[in-house]
Amino acid sequence: MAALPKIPIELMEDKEALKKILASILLLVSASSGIPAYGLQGSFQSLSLCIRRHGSLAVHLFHGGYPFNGQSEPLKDFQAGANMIEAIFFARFLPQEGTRVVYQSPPGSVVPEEGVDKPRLFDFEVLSEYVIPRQAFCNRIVTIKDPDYKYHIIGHPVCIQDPKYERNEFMFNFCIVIRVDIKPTPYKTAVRRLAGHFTEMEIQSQFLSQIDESNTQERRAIGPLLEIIKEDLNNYNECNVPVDDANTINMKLFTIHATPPHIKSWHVPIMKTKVNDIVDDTWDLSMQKVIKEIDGIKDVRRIAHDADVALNLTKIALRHLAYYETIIVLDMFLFGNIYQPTAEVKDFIDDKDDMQTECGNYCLINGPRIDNFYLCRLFTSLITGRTLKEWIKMHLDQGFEILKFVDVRRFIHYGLVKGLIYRVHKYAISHQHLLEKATSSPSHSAPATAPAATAAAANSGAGTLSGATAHTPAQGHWHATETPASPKDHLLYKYTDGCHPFDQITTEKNMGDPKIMDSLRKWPKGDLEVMYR
Amino acid sequence: MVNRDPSLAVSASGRLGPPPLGGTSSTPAAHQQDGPRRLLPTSKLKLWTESRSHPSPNASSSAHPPAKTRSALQMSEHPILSVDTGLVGVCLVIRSRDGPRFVFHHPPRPIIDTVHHQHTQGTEIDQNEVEDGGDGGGDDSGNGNGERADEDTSDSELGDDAGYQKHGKTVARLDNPKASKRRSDHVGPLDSDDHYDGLEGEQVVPWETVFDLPTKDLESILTPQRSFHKKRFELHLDPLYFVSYPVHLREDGTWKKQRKSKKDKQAKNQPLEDNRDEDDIDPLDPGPQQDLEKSVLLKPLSDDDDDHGGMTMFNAVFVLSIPEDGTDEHTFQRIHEVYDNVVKDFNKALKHAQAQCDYVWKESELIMSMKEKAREERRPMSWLWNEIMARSSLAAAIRDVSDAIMRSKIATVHLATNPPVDMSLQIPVPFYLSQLPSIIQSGQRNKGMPGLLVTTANPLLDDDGNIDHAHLNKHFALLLLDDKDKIISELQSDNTELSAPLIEYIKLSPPTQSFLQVAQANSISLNDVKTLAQHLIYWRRAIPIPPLHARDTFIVSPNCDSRKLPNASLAWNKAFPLAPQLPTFLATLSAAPRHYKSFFPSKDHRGQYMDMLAWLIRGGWVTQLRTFCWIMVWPEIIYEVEYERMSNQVNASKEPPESSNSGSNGGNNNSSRRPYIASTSSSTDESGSEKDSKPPLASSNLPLTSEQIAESARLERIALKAEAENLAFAQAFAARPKPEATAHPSLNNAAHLANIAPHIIKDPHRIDEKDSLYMDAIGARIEDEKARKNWARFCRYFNGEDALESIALLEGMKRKEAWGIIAYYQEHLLISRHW
Repeated sequence: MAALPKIPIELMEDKEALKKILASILLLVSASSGIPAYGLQGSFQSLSLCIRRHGSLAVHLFHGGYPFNGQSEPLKDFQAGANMIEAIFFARFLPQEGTRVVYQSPPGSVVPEEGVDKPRLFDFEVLSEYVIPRQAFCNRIVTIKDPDYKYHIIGHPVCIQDPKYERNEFMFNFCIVIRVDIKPTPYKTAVRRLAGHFTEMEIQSQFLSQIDESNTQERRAIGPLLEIIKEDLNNYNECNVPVDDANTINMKLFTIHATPPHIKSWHVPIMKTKVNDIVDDTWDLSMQKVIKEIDGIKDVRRIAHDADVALNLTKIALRHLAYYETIIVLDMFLFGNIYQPTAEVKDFIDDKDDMQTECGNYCLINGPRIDNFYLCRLFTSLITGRTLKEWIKMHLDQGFEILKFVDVRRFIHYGLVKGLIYRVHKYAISHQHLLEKATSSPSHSAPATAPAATAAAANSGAGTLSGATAHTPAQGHWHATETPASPKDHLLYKYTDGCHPFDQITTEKNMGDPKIMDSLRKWPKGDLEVMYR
Repeated sequence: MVNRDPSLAVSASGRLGPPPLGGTSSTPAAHQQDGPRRLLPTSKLKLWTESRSHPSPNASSSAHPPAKTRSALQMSEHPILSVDTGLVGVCLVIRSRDGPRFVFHHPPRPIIDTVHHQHTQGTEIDQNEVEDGGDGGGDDSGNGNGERADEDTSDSELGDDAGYQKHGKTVARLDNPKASKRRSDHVGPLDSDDHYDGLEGEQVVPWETVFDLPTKDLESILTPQRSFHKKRFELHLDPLYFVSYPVHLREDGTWKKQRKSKKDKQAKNQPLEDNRDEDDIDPLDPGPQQDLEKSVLLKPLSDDDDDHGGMTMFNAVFVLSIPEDGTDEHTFQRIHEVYDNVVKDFNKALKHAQAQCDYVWKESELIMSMKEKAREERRPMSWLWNEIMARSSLAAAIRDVSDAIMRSKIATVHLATNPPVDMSLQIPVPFYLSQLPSIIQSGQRNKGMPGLLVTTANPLLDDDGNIDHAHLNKHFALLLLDDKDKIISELQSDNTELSAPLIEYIKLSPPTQSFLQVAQANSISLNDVKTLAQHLIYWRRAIPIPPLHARDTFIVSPNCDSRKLPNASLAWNKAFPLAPQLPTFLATLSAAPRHYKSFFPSKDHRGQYMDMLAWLIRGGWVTQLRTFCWIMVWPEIIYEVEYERMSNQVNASKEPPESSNSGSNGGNNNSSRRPYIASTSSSTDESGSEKDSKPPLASSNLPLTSEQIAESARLERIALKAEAENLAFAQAFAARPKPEATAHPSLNNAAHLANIAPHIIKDPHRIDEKDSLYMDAIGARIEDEKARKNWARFCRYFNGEDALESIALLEGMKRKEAWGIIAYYQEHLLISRHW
């Protein structure tokens, strides 16, 4: 799943034509992969298509676009067939001559070469110091950008110390040159790997240091080797080059994804890709179990329970999926939830990217398709302080029966995924709890105890789950101390600092909203507030 | 999102950075002398510009507050959160006749946050990491950030923002080397404060190793060749990034081009100059060096007899350590920010000072000799560093920049040249978010910073909806980020030329009044007001917000940082002892959106409650719920307009019976193309059809060819057909029910309207003909005369982007009046309320 070559659309020129092409591919992909259409279309500017080299199509939606100061372009991902590697070269330090480029591809790109009349990419003399740096800087990634800020020279200088060499050391570096607007990390990995391979081969057989003296038949010369590596990485994002009987260079460029969010037990994962189709027996067992349970409705705790996988393992598995952007996480859908529109709702009213039709189709239930106008009205009438129940009732009073025309859950999901609305969570705050927190020394004691508390919470959550819904130990404890002397003994005390949404209590304590409220009513009067945000 | 600046809209914690307020871009405010009253002398705000104006000595010494007092201007605790800049240290390297020399670095023991440098390949997730809130970044924030104490927070937005929370970590390094030793990973003799003897008896000097690298090696790799002169130098020595803007001695042996050559150069290069670096604005240094470098050297570099002691280049290098778990974008962004905002300006300032009085070389010489002496005397490093910083203003400047930028503060730099160079450097921080970080935009580093105000009210939009980075919208108000009296007393102690006007302005400017209102009420020039406000915003003492009003609605911000609640609650009690408790008040506000006024216990509480509101907004606890709307066209109106159109069409086809025999198709086409235009337009149709019919008449004298016969037959057929169609159309039209204007179009359930869906006019600025007819029809329906008159004027705000709350200000109306008018439109508006 990792290395998916992409065709970023920003490179292609005719946007309109491209949109059409993409739209048709999207349909195809949607049909074949089961990704909901809304997951695919989204913002066209950031949508890039990934075609897996070995296997089916997969579509990759990333919310890219860091605001780069408004002036610089966003970095590009590597892609197959776009000649991302401008040049590759092998340099070594010769005791007499100093730093020398032994081989370069394409010819004449780094240092002048006979018979080549093309301008060089950059002035190597200026940068040679960074290609073969002093010993202190060797054996790590060293990159430098040329003075014109056009090229990024990525290298991993290696220094092998051995008495057999002149001056007791042998220094070399394999460098890849890319443009500065390309994400360097995948290439850094490749360069590191090249350095590792050749270091090993040098130690084994002095592969590099004896290059000039004997170019034996069994092994390939360094030049063609680099040529193949460059071509293969450029065209296929990977290479597999046998060097001699014992050594093969295998490399692949990997897309580096952003760190995924932490998965909470009340999150509801929704599949973006049909992972089910690509799962095979070699996959992690927990992962296989978890994937089966993802249906867009179950929360993480429920998935863990139904899949019979420990909660924390479930979270890891889901985070893994989130890393590859195959799932998105939303929160639990309940009719008591409150949602609030964001400024993005304007995009919906403006019908950007045909969102209205898309949404209408997505939340359609058996029955007549309602006009897009009503969808606009539904979104704009959501507001903090109004639960979905009240919202439905309000529309009913105005003569519009939402439930007859719209799958409310899907409707809300659509809004959340598109960022048109956000969930307004409910928090309990106890004055006393706050006071205690403010007065206790903030820096030391709390962090020490807090993780333990969380762990305990996780355990008890798991406990409630396995113990079915009836009478759990936790609840027993609660009944025993029905009228707590101080709120501190209250079952929900630790949730009352304003940092824990009701959703968390629901999943960890297995209590519904009414039950929580009920329980909180036993709180000393005037000490507890319920805040929505 | 249409005409907003992408950098503002794209993502949550985007760099909605403050504008280059009074920066290198000229500030017209300061120059215009007109206007009612001047609060301001003609000084500029960003102090760097002042340092640039030094050659004119009259402006130099008085125009800026001295650096030492300005540091008091820094906010210690306020909700504008700082971003993690990634900076771990700054070093100064020069190349002199003795070759490259590593002059100075700060902090003396840079700490590289090794926690983040464990390479997590793919999705190998450490299990601990997954546990709620147990984020790696928490480890290092203990000393600086009490709020992070609550590590078990389960808010995903709150738990994962380690990147923004680290700024407190580098505080006490110098004073407490032991603490840093404990924290850093590489504990060993190298980290010691004292000298010791190595295995072979050589002296190991504590300051000769930085970042685990010998300075002997660093000094050579950090003095790049001339090709990098005034270019971006960016070296990555895993895991550190070295970013700088090296400055070389010019080939004519000077550090700056002489002014003389500037004038004729400027004339020649006028068009070119736009492309150049902004430093060419520097009046002292207009010329790009490349021109000269390409030409033949004027004179060979003199080796050692120069008065600058043979220094041929210097380079203040900023060292960044960027967590590996970020994406390339994150890395790129960090480097970019530091380079653009700090590195470049700092090196340029040094160049200025060097050109002026050989400053960098003299200071470097001083520092190096002190180091040499301390080396011989085997002094401990902490002692030496204190000595150096006390004696060398350059070292102190490096310390100031390094410390401030590491903590994302504003660095005030003072170089003791004559006249002194004073400047301020900062990486701008956003003062509000326009988009909420969603859990879907997972893992992006640019996540929301909890506690930051969320709003889509953009103070940089001008009245036409364009982004203007240099100017604030005059309809915004200034919200101080700290207690008014506290700021005033700080300004007083600063006692600079700007203090008096600033204090006066602060006293005059409540957050309830827009800049324009403040200017008008006190008859001050608006430009002065804005300039002063920009000054306060630049120095992070204030933020621009839409003016507060008791009738507006405020809700608890979805981005508020509840981990701060315990302390904030105490602070609240202190500030407003008689008010309800903070959680109670927030809970009340959040229960249901209501006018803020409705929470006042009585009219007398107004003042205090407005103060409370300012406090809450300042802390990012609440945000304004603003109202946006679109024009909604009900079926009744649609039908009416449609009916009108059809009736016109029928009339048009009936009226010209004589044209039916001579090419009526022309007229017909016209009328169907422009069906909405009443009888006046049908006369133009006539003339059009006459013109059309002329050529056949003229040709009728000639014998008819078979083609012409066929053509006329065809025309006749078409005419007949059209007539039949018209007839049928008229009949169908007659069968339709007549439109009937009811008092409430939205409730009209007539059968003939059942199949018509209401229509939304997306943007009244760009409407087609139909929409304009709808708007006219709605306008005609409005009963109140005043509201009817204002319909066309108000319509432009009904675009879903302009808040209704701002109409009164924009139109210069009384608030009540504007809302009264809008109330009449209510039935025809689709309303959405968000921030």
